[in-house]
Amino acid sequence: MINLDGITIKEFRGVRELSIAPNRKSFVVSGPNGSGKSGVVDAIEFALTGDVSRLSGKGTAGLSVATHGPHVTKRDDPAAAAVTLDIFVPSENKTVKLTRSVKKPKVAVIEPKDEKLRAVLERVAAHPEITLSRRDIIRYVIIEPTERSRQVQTLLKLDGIGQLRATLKTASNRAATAHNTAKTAAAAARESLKRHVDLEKLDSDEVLLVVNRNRAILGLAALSEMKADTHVLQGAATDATFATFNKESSLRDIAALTEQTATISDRVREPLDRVREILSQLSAEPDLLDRIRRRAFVEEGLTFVDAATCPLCDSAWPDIDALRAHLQEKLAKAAAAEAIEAELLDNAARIAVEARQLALSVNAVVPLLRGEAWVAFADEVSTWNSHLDGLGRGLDSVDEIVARSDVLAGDWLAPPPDLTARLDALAAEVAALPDQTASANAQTFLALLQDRLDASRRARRAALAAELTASRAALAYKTFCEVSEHGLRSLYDTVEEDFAAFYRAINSDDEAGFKAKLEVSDGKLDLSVDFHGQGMFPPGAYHSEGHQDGMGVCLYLALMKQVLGDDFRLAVLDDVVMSVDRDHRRQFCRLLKTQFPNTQFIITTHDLVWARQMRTEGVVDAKGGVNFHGWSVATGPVCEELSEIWVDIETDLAKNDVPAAASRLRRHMEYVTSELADELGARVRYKGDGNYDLGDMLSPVIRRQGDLLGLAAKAAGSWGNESEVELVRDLKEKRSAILTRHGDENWILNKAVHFNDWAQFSRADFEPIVAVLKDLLLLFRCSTCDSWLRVLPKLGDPESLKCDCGAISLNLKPKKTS
Amino acid sequence: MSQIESQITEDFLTALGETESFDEEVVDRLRRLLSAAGPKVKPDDVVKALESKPASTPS
Repeated sequence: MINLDGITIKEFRGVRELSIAPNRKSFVVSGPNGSGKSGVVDAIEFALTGDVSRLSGKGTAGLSVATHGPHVTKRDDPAAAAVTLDIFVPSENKTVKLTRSVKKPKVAVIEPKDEKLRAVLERVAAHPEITLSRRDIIRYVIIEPTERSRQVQTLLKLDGIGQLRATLKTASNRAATAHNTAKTAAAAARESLKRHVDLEKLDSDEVLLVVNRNRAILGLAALSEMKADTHVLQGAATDATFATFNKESSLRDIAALTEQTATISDRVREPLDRVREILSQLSAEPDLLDRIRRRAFVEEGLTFVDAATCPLCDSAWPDIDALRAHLQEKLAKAAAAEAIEAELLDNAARIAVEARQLALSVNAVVPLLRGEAWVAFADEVSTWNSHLDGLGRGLDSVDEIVARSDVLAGDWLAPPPDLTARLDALAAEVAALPDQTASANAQTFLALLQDRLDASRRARRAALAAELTASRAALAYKTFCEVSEHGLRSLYDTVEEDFAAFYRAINSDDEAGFKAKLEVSDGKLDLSVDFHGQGMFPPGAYHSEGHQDGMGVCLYLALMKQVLGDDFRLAVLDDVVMSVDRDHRRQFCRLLKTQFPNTQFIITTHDLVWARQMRTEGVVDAKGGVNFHGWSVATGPVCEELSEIWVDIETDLAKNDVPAAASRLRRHMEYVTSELADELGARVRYKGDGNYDLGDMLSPVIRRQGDLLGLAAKAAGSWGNESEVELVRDLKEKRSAILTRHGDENWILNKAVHFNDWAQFSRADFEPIVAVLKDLLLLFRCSTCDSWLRVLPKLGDPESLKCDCGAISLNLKPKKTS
Repeated sequence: MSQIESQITEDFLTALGETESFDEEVVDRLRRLLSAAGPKVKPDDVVKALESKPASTPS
């Protein structure tokens, strides 16, 4: 997606002011612990995402970017803390400047204001995993499988897949419930129709016979067939209104209601008993009910998480991942409650179906309750009908069921008093009515048939539509599961393959046959690895810490390759292979160079040997790095960057700030001379307290350099290597000239003068010291690659004096004479 | 949605389109819904998108 050209940090974390220029290439930031390297990583992450993972997530309670992002001396001035990145966007072939300040961390100011560039940067912001610390890599390796699955899915941006799967499952369940309801209504309507025509079976030919028999009585022509849109009174006067009371049919409706009321208790006994048991359990264990309620609540809440504020309680969280993890943990704890909830809902649904069917039967009888004598009963039946309807529709959730606990525990059916007797009386009254004339009977029969046909057709259409929707919803869920599992399986297969190949590449000497297995099951992601052909084990079982670090980085790289593909153009690795030994780090350098040639790596390390390895292996070029050699609250990281340090000192002196310049120069010289003493093998007088100052090291280093150049001259002469003789002579002449100037200023460099006294000098006194020391250090450095010269081998007789790039490589071993 | 999520969603819609139960109109409705709401789509909206207009009246 992007490469970094430049990074400018102001008053952010441990950095006061710092500019580094990776120039779209890999870059190493080296320095001892506490020198401010991670501040650079934090700054890049902050600029890109508006967040600093070190200040958020688990174990960071009380920390925040707003409060702890600014430098400690600027903690009340968040506007002073800002990071600017000069960014190259390869896809657009354009550069863009991105600035973000702690005062407005969510606002990325970009210049130029280009929507395409902004879109790219927004995509980058969605990938905080571009920065990786050692703490992060442990997340992928030494972690239990469920958490690994979550971390990896978050990294792969797959959390939406789980979310969509859950939504489709809920949709499928709801569609199935709606289908069941519609089916019940259709069956009841069909039953009502069947009862009316008084047939054993609703066969269209038999219905046609009944219809035509009644039509004949009315003098209407026979219908040839019963079709989906047939009107059984077709041909009757179009303005006629038809009564729908039909004596025989009404008697059958009353009988049906009587029979249903008498038998319903048997049909619901089993589900009702189970519902009652569960309701008793919930009553005895309020915590169980809470867990069920919270589960539904949390499940719903999870779908609304789109920021670091909880959608359920408005609590602020350090970041969105931490909030999601918290809610998912709650869901996992409610797993047992989920089974009880499912059983309760299933049994309640069976009761609801019976209640709805009974309500439909009641509906058919209500119109018969006419006349003064039935007013009171009609009211009671109407109330009962509402009660049944309420049960039929109101047992869909745990809370609804619990709210009806008393009803379900007691006389749940609650029929009107003496229902059977009163229905018998109603039936007797209807039966006592004079028989309808044949014509009236036929007319009311057909009118009521048409009503019930219409109702049945509507209900059937609704049921068929609901069935189709339910089958689609079920198929959608099943298909999504299959497609996503296939997609994830093939993705994890690729990750597994890449991971093992990367790991083998950096451990070819001792684990050339390394294999790995990533297995997905039930929301878990198991990682097992081969241990020297002895079997597959969890990564933490037998492998050393260094090997585990290697695995973490390899798995990260394999995942990033999948996440971003060709867009994996930038990664910031914060001291991630600190436990990997030197030889394996060299292989790691080669892995980065060969497998990720288009990725810009910004790598921090406290290990100067590895920083150098990255140069010699070509991961970073000669100027692709900066070394921090000190840190203080006042200055932030002190860089060993040749041009910068002298510019900074000149700036201090221009402001007549000799104390600042002196402090900078002293720190720099102490650092460089200690490095050179080590690299050149200078003989420094041992001090028990290990407290060496500039005066202890400068002279031994200069002496050692003279000795080494003497060896080089002798060796070149013995081999007859004229060009090297010439080169050494040139170096010695330069050295001599500088040392003469050095001697002139020796009073000020003399050990007798404590270097802290520099701060008392005037600018005029101090400037010559700066100049001579600057030139002196140039003698120890390659002008091509800026690396310090060093002697090889480090132990034993010196054989060569060389720089990192090989531009300087002086032989120190003279030809043996016989 | 991430690239992988987008790919899985597209494969999902394609697989649905190849089944008899899903006509082009329903798949399109679902596609529009998912592209507008992503994984945060509401279950009831999914159900609605899967509904068909009533077909011919059954006998």
